Amino acid sequence: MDDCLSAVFKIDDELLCVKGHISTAMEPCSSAELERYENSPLLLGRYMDSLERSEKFNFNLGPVSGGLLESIKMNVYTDGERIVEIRPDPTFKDRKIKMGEAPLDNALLKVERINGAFAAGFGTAFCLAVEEIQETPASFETQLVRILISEIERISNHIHVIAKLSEGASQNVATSHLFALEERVRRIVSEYFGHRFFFGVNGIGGLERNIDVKGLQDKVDGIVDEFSSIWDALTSSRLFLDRLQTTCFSRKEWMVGPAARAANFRYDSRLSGYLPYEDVGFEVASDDTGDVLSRALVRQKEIEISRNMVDEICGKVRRVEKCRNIDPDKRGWSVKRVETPSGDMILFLGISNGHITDFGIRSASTANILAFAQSAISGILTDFTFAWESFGFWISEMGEYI
Amino acid sequence: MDIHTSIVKRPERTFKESFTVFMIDTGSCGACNLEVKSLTNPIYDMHRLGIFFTSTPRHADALLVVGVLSEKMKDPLRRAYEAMPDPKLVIAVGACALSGGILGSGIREMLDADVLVPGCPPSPFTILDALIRSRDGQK
Ligand code: SF4
Repeated sequence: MDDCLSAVFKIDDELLCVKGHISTAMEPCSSAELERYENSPLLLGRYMDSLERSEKFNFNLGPVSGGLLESIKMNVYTDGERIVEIRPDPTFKDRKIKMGEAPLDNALLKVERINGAFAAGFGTAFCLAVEEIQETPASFETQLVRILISEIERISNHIHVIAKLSEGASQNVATSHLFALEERVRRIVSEYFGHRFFFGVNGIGGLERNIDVKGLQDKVDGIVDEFSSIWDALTSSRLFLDRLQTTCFSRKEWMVGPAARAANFRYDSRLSGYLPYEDVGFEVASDDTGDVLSRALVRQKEIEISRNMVDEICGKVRRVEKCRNIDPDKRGWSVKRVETPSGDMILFLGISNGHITDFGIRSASTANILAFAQSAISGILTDFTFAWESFGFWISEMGEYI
Repeated sequence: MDIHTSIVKRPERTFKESFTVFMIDTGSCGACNLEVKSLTNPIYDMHRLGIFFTSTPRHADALLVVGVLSEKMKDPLRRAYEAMPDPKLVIAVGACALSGGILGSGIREMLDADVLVPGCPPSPFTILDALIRSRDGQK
């Protein structure tokens, strides 16, 4: 498992890869070696191929489709009602974001907008990478605030994913309640951090805003308590459980995030200590079945664990002053792995003279999309929504950078 | 005090009683999508105002665009616009769709937006306010 392929970056025409679930070491690899790994085409950005598909009916979904939040094209091949193959093509909305030569401040704004829903996680990875190159680590309090924003982001995201699963199972009352809770989390985030999606909170060397967490703990506790009562109601509904249980199994050692943990692969980059998670009571949540219900259960447990960490941090810090630290003379490169709500994200960064020289990201969505496509095989068409939503994909984070 | 931050260049009163919106993502970070989607939650509940989303441009009164204009979404954007019946509105939501922001170019090279909703992302209240004014004649 430690040699599973996690990321491939092309730097100056050379292929470099990161292996396993903890390491940030980059090693050279040849195209021939990459062929050993079934997920390597995805990591290289090859989403489509030209397989013969006679005798299969192709449901051509997207790139603009009412059911999905973002633009993606899917060729869903069926034999009658049964799905026999899915070929996702997430390249339609690829923004080809220009990162090369960007000044660091400007680059941070862009990084936060790669995936707006995970701006805290992406911003943290970028700042940690720059700080490592500059040899100017942020203060302990800043690191705690980074955990705080990452965990509130996780709570918000997991509520969203469970709301989408509930919507798919036509549990309308619970769905409305969950989406209302998601909105209330956004308002709390806006009140305490100045932006509903944490844009502009992270800074290189510190934070861009003064943060005062007085009263935050009670508000987050209130949200999680309410979520728990909705979850209890949902899981007492046979209809909800029937739609999720034994639907779309997935068990691949190269998966990441809640999807991996739902199949009892206890990978979580928070274990690597990129932030002081060991000081705030972090524990890994897992389940063992690997179906849609397991993925939802892992998210439900993670909401509780994140709440405990928020409580712990609010007991340790009260006010953190803004502070930044950019050293334009430093050059070098760094690889950072950060656990976004959908899973491990790997960021590669090179800087020189205060500007970016190299940039690459292997997102959780890129890591897991093949697992999604495989998990839906043999399911029926109506399973599609559950397979898709349970992984928590964001197409925005599957783009290329130039 | 003027609380409106969006600009309604051309309202369409035909949609006053019932207004149906088709959202298209031409290259967003996802946050604008979430803010637009949240208009259906019970806190904003746009349905009570006679505003609905549709999953096909054929039934749409307005095309609501989020995100920068990516190369491969140009054709789907054009086709969605052409599939809509007249009269129709184009609503650009978020800095990306308006101007490209810091990530690319906006939709202006392809479509002239009738309603401009600034923000990164605009809050659901701002978007809802723009939708209401798009169809009741208030500029
Ligand atoms: S305007 Fe801002 S929030 Fe909206 S898609 Fe662009 S970067 Fe994301």
